[in-house]
Amino acid sequence: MKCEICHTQNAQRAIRKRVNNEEQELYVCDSCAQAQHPPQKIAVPEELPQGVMDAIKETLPEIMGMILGATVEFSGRLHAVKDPVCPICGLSRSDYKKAARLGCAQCYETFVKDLDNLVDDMHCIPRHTGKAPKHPKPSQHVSLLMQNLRTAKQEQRQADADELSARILQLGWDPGPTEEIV
Amino acid sequence: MTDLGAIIRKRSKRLKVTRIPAEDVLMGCRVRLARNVQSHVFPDRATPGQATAVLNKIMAVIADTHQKTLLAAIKDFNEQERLNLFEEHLISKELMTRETGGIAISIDKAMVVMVNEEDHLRIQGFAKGMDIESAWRQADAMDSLLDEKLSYAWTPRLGYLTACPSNLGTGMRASIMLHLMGLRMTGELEAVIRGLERMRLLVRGLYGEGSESAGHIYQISNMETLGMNEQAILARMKRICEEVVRQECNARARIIQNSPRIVQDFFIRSLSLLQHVLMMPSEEAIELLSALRFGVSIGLVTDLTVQDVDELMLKIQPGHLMRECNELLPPDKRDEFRALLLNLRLAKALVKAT
Repeated sequence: MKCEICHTQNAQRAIRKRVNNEEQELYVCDSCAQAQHPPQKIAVPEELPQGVMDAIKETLPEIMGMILGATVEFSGRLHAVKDPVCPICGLSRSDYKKAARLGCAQCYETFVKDLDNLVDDMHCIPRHTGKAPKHPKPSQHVSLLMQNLRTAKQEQRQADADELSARILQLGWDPGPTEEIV
Repeated sequence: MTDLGAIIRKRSKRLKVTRIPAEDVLMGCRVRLARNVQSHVFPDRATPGQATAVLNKIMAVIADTHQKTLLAAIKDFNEQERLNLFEEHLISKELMTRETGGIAISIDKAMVVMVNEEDHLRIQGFAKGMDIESAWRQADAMDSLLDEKLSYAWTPRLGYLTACPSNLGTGMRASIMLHLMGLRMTGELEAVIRGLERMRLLVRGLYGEGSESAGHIYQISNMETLGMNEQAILARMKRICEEVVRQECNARARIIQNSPRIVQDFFIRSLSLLQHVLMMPSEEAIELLSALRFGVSIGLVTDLTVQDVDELMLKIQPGHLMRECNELLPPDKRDEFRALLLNLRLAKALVKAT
């Protein structure tokens, strides 16, 4: 296949280019590809000795990659070891794992992800059927989410409403009708 | 000269056991409901002030709604009194040491509320035999009364929220206490327990969670509290326990049929020890009384009823012995006093020769 720009060389790669406000995929030769998308120059202070500059130019992408990789790994580790704490009773995940007891009703919301798996393991059917209080009352946190959901619906913010509905549902309460906001 | 051969031939006659009463295998049942009050930290994480506030709130509601109930704070009981309540299965071992705990007992002792144990409320209903529906009605009635005044921690998906997720949902643990001496003697008990555990039932000792089996007495209770309603849990428990009772009766019948002399000898040895020894530790006493209970049940031990033996099993416990003596006794003195009590109470009992 010939280059779709110069029509002389053989096409080597595909590039994306806006033509008449429309993005098109073109198969082009190497020289046309470089002409369309010249490689980004790395800004290096001029006062550095030439040898150092060459070395930097050569190794910078690799160093940046290493730094980025390390950052991602570090933040990943940080995320993994982060110990969530219940805002009401102060119980941390590690406290809970030691004592195997929760500190308050809010803990079921704080540790919802850990507990969902545990409840699935402990009980064959992880959904309550049976007696219920005469006047069930959601927690303050769930009440707030429900209030936010009502506001999101009134203001026709569908994405926010969907997210709030999902969170309320995950915390065990019925978020109400799920029809789309029109 | 004595004709020993004639005596042995005479003794070798079949034991005259006409009936294996299934009701004697049953030692009572209990239904417990775990509840927590909305917006209050659970007992384990609560400060003494927070726990006391919950205790006072719950006690005030019970006093208001349930007139025929005795209310008390655990801190108002001395060590021996706490032990007595534990030995009568009215409170748990855990509540004995909770200074911010409380207890409400109905006058007939068929309903007990433990306050600030693992959860804010442990509402318990008790009944005889396998009348687990009656135990449920006792606990349910109290729960409904409290629900009028207290706002429970509850969600539609997880039901009643409890300190331990193993109690979530109905918060209900139904237990039936069984005397499984026959299955132990035939060596079938381990297989039966494994079968029960496969059916997701808990098998515990005489004093529930964490207790060892003593005197071949076992508490069988539902493991799962979420996903099945209360009636379904009770019906399943009853169905399975009826089958265990049937197996126990069969085991007893086979022992009597196949090894009558061994059984008689076993009863005679047990009774003789209980009637004559001078020191008797409680574990040994429970084992021997358990054997005696079996003998009484099939009519081979005279001058005693199964209820008498059950009462003795309670009276020989350390707390009850100390109450009887009205003083704190060290273990060796308790063993001596226990032996004396058993010697006197069982003096007239006899194992029938045939």
